[in-house]
Amino acid sequence: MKADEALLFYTYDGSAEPPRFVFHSAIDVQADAERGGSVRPRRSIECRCLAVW
Amino acid sequence: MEEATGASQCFVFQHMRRDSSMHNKECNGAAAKAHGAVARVHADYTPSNGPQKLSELEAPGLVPRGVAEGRRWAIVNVWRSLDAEHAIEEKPLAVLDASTVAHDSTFTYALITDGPPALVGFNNSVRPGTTFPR
Repeated sequence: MKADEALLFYTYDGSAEPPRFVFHSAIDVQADAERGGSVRPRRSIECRCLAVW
Repeated sequence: MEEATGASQCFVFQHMRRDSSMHNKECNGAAAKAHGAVARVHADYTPSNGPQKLSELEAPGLVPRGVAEGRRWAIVNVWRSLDAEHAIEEKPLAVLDASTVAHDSTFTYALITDGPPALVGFNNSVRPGTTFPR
C-alpha cells in the first residue's frame, strides 16, 4: 500500500442485525532477519467518520 | 468518502497517527509520539458502545442532533500510509470480511490504560480458530 491508496472499512455497521464489524489487525509479513536488512516502520493515519445514508 | 460509500453525509470525528518504529515508545516519562500498530484482531466498537458513540458525538455537537434518526448509519475507518515514497513494509493492516464472522464467535474485552485517571474502554474481538475457514 502506498500513500495515495486508502482502505475504507466499517468499524461498526448497525444496519445489519446483529450489528457487523470489520475486524482488523496489524500483521507480520516477514521476519526482519529473512529480509536481510532493516525494514521501514509503518507510519499510517486513520480517520474515523460517521457516515449517514 | 461519500463517493466511495454512497453515504449522503460523512462527519470526521477522530484521527490517529500510528508508528510501528522501535523508537515510538513511552519511555522515561515521555509520551510516545504516535500510537503503535495494534497486532491484535479487533474492531473498534462493540454492540453496545457502537450506538453509544452516536449519542456521544451528538452531545457536544460534533454531529447534528438526530442526524441519523430513521436513516442507515455506520462508523467508517479511512486508513492509509503516511509514507509518500515507499509501499508499507512492516505491520500492514489485515481486515476480515465481516460476512465470514459469525456473531456468536465475537466477544467484548476491556482496555484499561494507566492512570491517573485509569481509563476503561471496551472493544470487540473474535475467538481464535472460529473464523477461517468455516
